[in-house]
Amino acid sequence: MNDYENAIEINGLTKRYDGFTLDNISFNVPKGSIMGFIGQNGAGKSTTINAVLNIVKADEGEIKVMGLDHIRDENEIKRNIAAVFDELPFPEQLNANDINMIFRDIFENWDSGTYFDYLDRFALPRKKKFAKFSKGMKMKLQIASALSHGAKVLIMDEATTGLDPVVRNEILDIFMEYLQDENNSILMSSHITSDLEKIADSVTFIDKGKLLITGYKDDILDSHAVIKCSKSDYAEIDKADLVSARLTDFGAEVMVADRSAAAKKYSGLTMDRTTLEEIMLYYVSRDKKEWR
Amino acid sequence: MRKYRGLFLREMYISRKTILGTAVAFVLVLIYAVMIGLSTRYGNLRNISEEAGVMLDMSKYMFIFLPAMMSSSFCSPSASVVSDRKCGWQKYCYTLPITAREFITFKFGMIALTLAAGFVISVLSSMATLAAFGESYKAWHLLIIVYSELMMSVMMFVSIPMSFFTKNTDISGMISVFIMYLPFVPAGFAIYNSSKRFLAEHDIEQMNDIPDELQRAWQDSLFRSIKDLFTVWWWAWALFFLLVAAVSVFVTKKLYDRRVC
Repeated sequence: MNDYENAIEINGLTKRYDGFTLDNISFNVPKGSIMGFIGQNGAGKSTTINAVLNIVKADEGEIKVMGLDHIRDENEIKRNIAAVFDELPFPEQLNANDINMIFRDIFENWDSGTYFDYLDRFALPRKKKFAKFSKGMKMKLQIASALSHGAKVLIMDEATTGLDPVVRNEILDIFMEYLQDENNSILMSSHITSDLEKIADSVTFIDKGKLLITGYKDDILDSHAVIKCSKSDYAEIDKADLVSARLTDFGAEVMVADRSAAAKKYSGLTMDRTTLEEIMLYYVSRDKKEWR
Repeated sequence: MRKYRGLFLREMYISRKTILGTAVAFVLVLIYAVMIGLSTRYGNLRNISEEAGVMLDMSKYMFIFLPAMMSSSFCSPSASVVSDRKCGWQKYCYTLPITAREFITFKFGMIALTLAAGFVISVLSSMATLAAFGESYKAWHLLIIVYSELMMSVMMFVSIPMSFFTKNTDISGMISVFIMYLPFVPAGFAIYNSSKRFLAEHDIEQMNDIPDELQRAWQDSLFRSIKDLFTVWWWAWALFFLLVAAVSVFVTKKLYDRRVC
């Protein structure tokens, strides 16, 4: 494996469908980090992830995984990555023991010991058919199998959606352990921004096929702020400075993308720290500027 | 080879119930056929009337070849493609270190393996049944098994790309059966025309008035022309099989490259 700086590099990724275009997306997932990939339903997250996995053929752009071309070096890449989807992709007639027997032949580096350790840790039965597994059990099993062949990059598409907070927390802990090895990286798409706020190092936000924000999570959270102001104060704010504004009966809550500039310009107004969820909400409404 | 073993195990685990059920049914039918055969020689069926004997003769071949036909139904590649697409395995498969070549080799290799196993089981079971009926094994018995297997293989070959297109086992099965029977259409026409030509050239109503030797010569001539037609048809069938196999592999490769899931 060559030395690489970014686990995933996406440059100018474009994919055109009838009625939707993933438009010139570029971002990097630094090696040894976890990137949260957020956006509304239909924003293009799954298309992007499927393009990285070469399940969707890009119309334009370049994708590198672990410094390797995602098409030319596909087989080499797929020996060293693991994909986790929102649904268990294994037939329901199988059980956890069967998966061990199958994957130890498919993956060169499959480690049955690691796999069974995860099963024990997640309290997953070995002989029970997947048809009788709950959603949480299915997801844990998928993660156990994803982490048992020495994958360097974990790519997850809405993997924690639909899980209860206890199970999600358990899974997030596993991801934190996985990232203890600085060679491991995670790209994780999710609607649950609170999870990403907890564990992500960087965040990429796309909407309607366009990239809106990408960067380190702390930088994004530090640079954005919500100004809570009265109607008269709101009238004084230059509309070019705001992402969008939520109008209330008493005034407005305005999101700005440059906190320090806004702090100087509107020194009399109070600025609150924001969250990824708020950033999503304000950016989604950026075209209409004002919303309720 | 290890990857193929993993994929093979997966297929076996998924279809273990089907295989077990078919195997039990197969053994029961085989035992039944052997017992009927033994009964015609040593049991009650030895003393049956002439009319019933004719019926038994007709159904005898059904008993002989039914276990053989059943042996090919152990594996259903179309069902596996459809269930793989429905449960998301097909999409997941594209994320595994399995190349298009390995995927195609495995899918069609499974058909070859099923047919080979089916052939061996068919030959053994028909030998056992024929022995029970007190008959020796003849070349045409083998020929029937070979062509039954070829017909099954055409159906299986076609069903793989069809299942990718339709995502429905029933529809892909119907299309596969339709394609499997395609060669019978020209064969039917050829036999019809041959018989028609024979009837035009020979006055069948005068058949009773002509000497036996001439009658036999006519029959021989008719059977010869039909036999010639069958020879041509067998070869055409073999070519048809090769064509279907090549097109099926090509289309499946294209579908895999397009990442249909």
